[in-house]
Amino acid sequence: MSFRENKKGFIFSLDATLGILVMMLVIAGVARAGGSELTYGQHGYLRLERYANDALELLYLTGNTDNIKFHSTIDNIENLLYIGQQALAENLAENQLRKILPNDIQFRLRIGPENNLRLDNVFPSAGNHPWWRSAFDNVKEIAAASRVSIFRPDNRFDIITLYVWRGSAI
Amino acid sequence: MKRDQRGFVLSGTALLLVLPAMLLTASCLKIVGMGGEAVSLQVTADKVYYTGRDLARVLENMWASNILADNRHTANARFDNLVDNYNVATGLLVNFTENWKLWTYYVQGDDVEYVYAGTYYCKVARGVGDNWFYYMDSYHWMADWNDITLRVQKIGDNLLITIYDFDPGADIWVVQPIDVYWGSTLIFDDVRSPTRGIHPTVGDSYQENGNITQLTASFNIQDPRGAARYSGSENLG
Repeated sequence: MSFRENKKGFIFSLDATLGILVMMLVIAGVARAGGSELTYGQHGYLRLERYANDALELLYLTGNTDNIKFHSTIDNIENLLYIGQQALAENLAENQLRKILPNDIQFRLRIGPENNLRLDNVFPSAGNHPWWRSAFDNVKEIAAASRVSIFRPDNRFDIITLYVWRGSAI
Repeated sequence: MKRDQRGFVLSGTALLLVLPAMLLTASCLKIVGMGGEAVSLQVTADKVYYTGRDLARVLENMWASNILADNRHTANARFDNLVDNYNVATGLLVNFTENWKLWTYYVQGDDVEYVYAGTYYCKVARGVGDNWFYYMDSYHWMADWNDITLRVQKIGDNLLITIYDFDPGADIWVVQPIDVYWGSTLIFDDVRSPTRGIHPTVGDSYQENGNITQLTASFNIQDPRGAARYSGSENLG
């Protein structure tokens, strides 16, 4: 290639090209590492899982005392179930979890095995259970936390499971 | 190289520029991969940690609710049931070891019988206040759970163990003295009926001093890959 005096333009050397290539790779790498998609992919689920575990743990740590003994929220729910007050137990669980979890986090609490549930239909708002069930069934990403508890009168162990997901409220 | 042949000449400087580009690319990919793995590990570690905490809490509740001292034999079966529940609920591997301190032993000829609390041959019942009764079916011939009854009283941090009853009953034809152990310590050697003179008998006591409990439950929880592990133990009673 020859360059005459009356021709003007940029000379793009191979070194410069490679230099730009390196820069582009660095910028692309940083953009990807700092991008919201990757950050969520790495930490979003972790946060969701911690929401579930921390919320369930709080049900054991919060409650009331009757001057003799501390009764956790889970104790109170179990007592209400023991005396057959399912609706009250459901309300208590809903109210407590709604207070604990942020508005963009939705939940479902279930006590007992699928074929013999002690408590179900604990969703962020009372009623609208079919809508919530549908939202639960169709959500793409769910985190769950589980605990085992003792239930009267037969002192049977049953599993308490809290599911949480990101979504809008009704 | 002829004049009409064209191409790039990869100079030393150009090569040095290519190398960092390759290194940076490889590093970025590695960082992304490690980040994902670290999060996965944190999720697993969280699950193991919370399960460990929960198991300790349930064990305390079991003791406080007298589920292990409800006058039924084979109290250890409740632990098996509990472990099964955790396996199902969490998918984690839960290993559990219970260690009741009281056990009895006797020998008759070649026949050696051990009776450990928590097994089929022992019923534990909670009495009024901080009293527990261990009904041992030491001789195994008749399942009557009353060959020897031991009372454990918690007095402050100490435990007072008393021979509450000794009643071979229908097993009278095989009666041999029974040794009673607290852990590895022989606390009553050759327990016999009251007429046997110097040997320990009903009413005799032994005090275990210090921060002592009747049962130690040890557990180990880990995920199936063995990446996260939680070990703990609860001293009960």
